[in-house]
Amino acid sequence: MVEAKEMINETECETKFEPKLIGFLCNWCSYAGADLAGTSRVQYPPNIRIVRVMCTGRLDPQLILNTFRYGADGVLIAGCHEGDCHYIGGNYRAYRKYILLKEFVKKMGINEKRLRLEWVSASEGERFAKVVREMVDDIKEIGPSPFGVTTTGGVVEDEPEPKI
Amino acid sequence: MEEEPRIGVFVCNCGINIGGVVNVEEVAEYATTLPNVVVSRSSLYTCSDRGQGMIKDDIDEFKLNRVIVASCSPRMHEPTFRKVIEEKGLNKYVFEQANLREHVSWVHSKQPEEATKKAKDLVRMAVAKARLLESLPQHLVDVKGEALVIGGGISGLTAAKSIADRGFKVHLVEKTPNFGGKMAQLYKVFPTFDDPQELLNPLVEDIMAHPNITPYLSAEIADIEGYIGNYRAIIREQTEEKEIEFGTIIVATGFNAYDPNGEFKYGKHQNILTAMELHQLMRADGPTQGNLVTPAEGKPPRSIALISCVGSRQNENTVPEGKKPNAYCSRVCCTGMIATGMEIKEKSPDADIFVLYRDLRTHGKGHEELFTEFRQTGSTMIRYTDDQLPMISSTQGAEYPLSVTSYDSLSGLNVEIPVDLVVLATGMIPDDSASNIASKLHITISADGFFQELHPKLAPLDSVTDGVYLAGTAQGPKDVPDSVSQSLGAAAKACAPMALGQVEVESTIAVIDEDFCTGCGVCQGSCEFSAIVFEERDEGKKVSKVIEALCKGCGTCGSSCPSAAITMLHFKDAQLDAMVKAALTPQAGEK
Ligand SMILES: Cc1cc2nc3c(=O)[nH]c(=O)nc-3n(C[C@H](O)[C@H](O)[C@H](O)COP(=O)(O)OP(=O)(O)OC[C@H]3O[C@@H](n4cnc5c(N)ncnc54)[C@H](O)[C@@H]3O)c2cc1C
Ligand code: SF4
Ligand code: SF4
Ligand code: SF4
Ligand code: FES
Repeated sequence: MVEAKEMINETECETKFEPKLIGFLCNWCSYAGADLAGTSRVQYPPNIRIVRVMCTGRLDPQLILNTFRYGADGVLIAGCHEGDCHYIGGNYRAYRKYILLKEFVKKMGINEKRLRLEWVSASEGERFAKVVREMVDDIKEIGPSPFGVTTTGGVVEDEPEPKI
Repeated sequence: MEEEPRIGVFVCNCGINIGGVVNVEEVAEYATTLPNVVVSRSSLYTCSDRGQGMIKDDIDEFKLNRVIVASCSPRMHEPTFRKVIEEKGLNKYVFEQANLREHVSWVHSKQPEEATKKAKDLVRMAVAKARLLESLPQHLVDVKGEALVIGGGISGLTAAKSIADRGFKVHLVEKTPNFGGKMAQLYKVFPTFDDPQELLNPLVEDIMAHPNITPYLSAEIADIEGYIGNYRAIIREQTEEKEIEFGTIIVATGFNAYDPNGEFKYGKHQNILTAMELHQLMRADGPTQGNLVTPAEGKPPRSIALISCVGSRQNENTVPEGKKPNAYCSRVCCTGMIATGMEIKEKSPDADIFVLYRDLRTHGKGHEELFTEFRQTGSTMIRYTDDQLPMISSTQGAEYPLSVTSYDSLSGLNVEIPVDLVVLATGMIPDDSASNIASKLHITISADGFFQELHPKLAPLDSVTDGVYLAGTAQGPKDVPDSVSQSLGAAAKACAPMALGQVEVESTIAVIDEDFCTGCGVCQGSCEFSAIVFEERDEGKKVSKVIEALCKGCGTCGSSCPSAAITMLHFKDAQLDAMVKAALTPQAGEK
């Protein structure tokens, strides 16, 4: 009997993986969009912790890599749509860094779905919520990050032990 | 020596907005376990006088040198709390805000436990950043006492005159050959039925003669650059170009009338007009010298249908294929339609009027009274629904050239009305130049396409860019009284920094450490504002230097420098890194 109970607990544990996401949002569009999701009372899963930056152009690849190193299961970078960046082209430069980062992250053995860049305007509260929902679902599917200090689980199959 | 951080944490209930979901007491209690936190409290409304008083008292009592408020979005109240701590002699940059409302309680309202956990995480992240915050020197810039007003409709004219009357110079730029905008094209303006020219002419005369106003007609802004207090633009007037300098900007680019092409048979029969076209037809300077006759037959109309909400309040069902629905209400067409009905009755007392409306929104001062008066004319009101739009067909050879069929939800019947004239109460869309102006001035546009205000309730006249203000229908549909009120407000806002002569700008700029800089120039190529230049040092060494007044603090250079020589003040690598680390490793942040 006791055994059976433990088994149930274990399966519960497995389905209860709650990914930890870090979102880097630019102040002018995406942070405002996330605020609008709030003002409009749009609901989304509570898995994301948002860090405000003035512009996505600020995002240093090193910071993103550190974020994975500290155990984030996913990283969202969100900024203004093309042509809307408050600082003209910060988002374009962020995009170029993102392309390189994606390659790098893959080489580190991190599933590329864990890093996502989205353009979310100040009026797209619902879309911000949708992006978070999608990311949480995607990452639940692929499981905890191999760097995860927050999870007890071992390394996920398609993600070999990271080398850095 | 750096002084040891002494952090005060103030967790806000925001009435029940946060406290109704997040266990605020628990969060405040938790904050006391975090490093360098010397006091942590909750309050009902931290932004109230009482809440602010509490922060001030604690700064004294606990000798706080860092303050965290965990409440609403910093986009809302960061300036408020920064002011509070400044009053106590602290530098405004030692303040940090955690967003427990927009990013927690309002979006996780059915998950109180998870919300409380997330709130604690956000407070822990704020503490991690606050420990590393630094006081930054104040940056003041001079504000030139001249303003640029873009758009010469009633809004731009009103703002320009108001600024000029206060003694500042104004450059008023209008792209058409005439001032007055759309108002100048109307027959009469509700609710008073004034001739718009009688209102506009004295204003335009004042403007043209005003010693402080330079008017530009058939002109456009060819180029614009700068920041609050110090803008420079090139105005192209016909073939001439002129460079001007000014400190503030008012955007009053107005609206365009919605083009109903392809809807309600518009364009298929001469007797189907937009409201704007009917105004022009009724004017004394119109094609028929103000005689109201049908365009096709040249005869006075016997029966007229007015249809509301054309191009406004659209949804996927009512919008023609390939167009994006305009979800908003244009706010002037209902009363406009009623007023037009009364004007028609004045010109042709025997004409029968049929008003086909969805809802009648006569919200303005005196508008409902106008509607009550209109009902005395005995006109027929028909309420159509958005799933069955009225249909118009031409009836060649019949007594009346057009026929309107509609479902009437008031009587539950389908009605068929023979008419001579159909008038579409078309709504407003933003001026074509809006997106171009938005990207030139780095201001934002809301989902409806009109310019977005900084805050719908607290900062309705500000754009997101300091020194740029919004006036009139450029910001959203309005009638003339509302446009004028907003323009007077925007003018007053623009005058404030000009009257002070100096404003404080953000000190959160880039700083280059010359010892690390190799002079590669990568940062200069990444700065959109040409804010970085080379400077020669001894032995011919070249180093990069940030021009403080030009740097906007975006941080793009910082993330591009291969030598890590650039520090972004207030968003330092170490500060962001600490936040991320705190978010992901709870135990690392605890005492
Ligand atoms: C059919 C209809 C009937 C109406 N009837 C009434 C009424 O009876 N009573 C009432 O109170 N209100 C009425 N209104 C509303 C009224 O027309 C508006 O409130 C008013 O015109 C708004 O003025 P504005 O200056 O904001 O915009 P506009 O009148 O649109 O003026 C904007 C000006 O800016 C210029 N401009 C645009 N872009 C640029 C640029 N990039 N550079 C330079 N110049 C530029 C334009 O050429 C224009 O002259 C009606 C509206 C409609 C459509
Ligand atoms: S003012 Fe009246 S006609 Fe115009 S969009 Fe609003 S409800 Fe429709
Ligand atoms: S990118 Fe860095 S090293 Fe290169 S010039 Fe700029 S500050 Fe100096
Ligand atoms: S922070 Fe932005 S604006 Fe300032 S120097 Fe760097 S790139 Fe230019
Ligand atoms: S300000 Fe939003 S991406 Fe640059």
